[in-house]
Amino acid sequence: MKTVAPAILDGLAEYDSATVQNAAAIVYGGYISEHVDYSGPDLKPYLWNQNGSGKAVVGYAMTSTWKPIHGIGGRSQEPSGRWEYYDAIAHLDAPTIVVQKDIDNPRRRAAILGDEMAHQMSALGAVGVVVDGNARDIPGINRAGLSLWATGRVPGHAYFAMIDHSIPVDIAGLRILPGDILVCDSDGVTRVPIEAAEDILEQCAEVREREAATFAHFSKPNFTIQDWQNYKPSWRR
Amino acid sequence: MDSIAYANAPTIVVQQDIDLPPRRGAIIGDGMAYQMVALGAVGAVTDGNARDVPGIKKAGLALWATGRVPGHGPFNMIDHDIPVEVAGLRIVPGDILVCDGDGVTRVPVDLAEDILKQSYEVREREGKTFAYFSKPGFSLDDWENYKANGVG
Repeated sequence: MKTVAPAILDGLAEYDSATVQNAAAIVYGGYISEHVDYSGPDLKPYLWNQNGSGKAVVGYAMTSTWKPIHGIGGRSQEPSGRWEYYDAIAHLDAPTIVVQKDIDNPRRRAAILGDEMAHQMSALGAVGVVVDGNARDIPGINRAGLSLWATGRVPGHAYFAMIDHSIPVDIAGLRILPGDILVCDSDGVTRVPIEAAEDILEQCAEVREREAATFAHFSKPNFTIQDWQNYKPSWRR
Repeated sequence: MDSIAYANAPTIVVQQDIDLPPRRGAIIGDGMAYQMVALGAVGAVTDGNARDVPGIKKAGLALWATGRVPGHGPFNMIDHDIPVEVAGLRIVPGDILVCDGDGVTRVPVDLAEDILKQSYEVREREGKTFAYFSKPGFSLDDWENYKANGVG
């Protein structure tokens, strides 16, 4: 799997998902479809500040699909090839974010992630899980030290199986490809394609600088509407 | 923006996402929050998504929204000073809004004084009810008495 220098991931974690989305739009030369850019409002941040730093969680997407009611053939079983998936998480010498999608019928009714899987994924080096579907045992997932975004939570599941892995998945309106860099925080998930990561990181610094100037301008004491009308930031002159 | 700036009273910015699809991108973020606070707004009520929620908090703006996402695409205000539907509530410009952890209650300006007066009476009645049902040793006799006589 293609990766970038660890410093790029660390750098992105200094920003938030919204700043990264702004920076990406500059790098792309304009806005791109939300379906390949950022998650929709169904995705909720359940556990997003595990180390107390308030920083975004950043890692490489490891995708999989699951059926938590009907399993495979009405039985709980592990698919062949599952070890490839877990090996890929275990052997990647970089933070990974496990991305799981419920494809059962009905979807999003049972849980596809719980505390046991959280302990397993954490042991293999995952730093977070992004779930289109439900989680359960949230306090246990918290204890496992895993950050969590999911579209919901429920207490149970039935026959349970992974169906496929390392394929593109749609998560709360965002298409995530295996190996994408994900920047996750309390607003949701912004996708960073590997090949654009370095440029996006560079733009993040500029976006933040501009924003800081704007915030300072609008925070000055006795601000008036005339101050706004006279506001001509250097990057728009 | 002028009407917010010159209101000389606390204002609540009410925004509705009317894009297609609605509620997919963000329609308020920290930049706008700083601007609205500078003009005198105390809160924002959004039928749509917010983003930069920690930044909106830093700006000092209270926020109610139907969701949150990290991004948006090309971004425009379409219209203003018109009735909007926010999470099933029709809000007319100039309405008084009472917003807290439960959500938003609309108070038409011409009823505000009467509603304030009734609020006091409602609270007094509730206080009596709460006290009645919280008294130590509450019994089924107390319940029967309540059914017959209320809280007295």
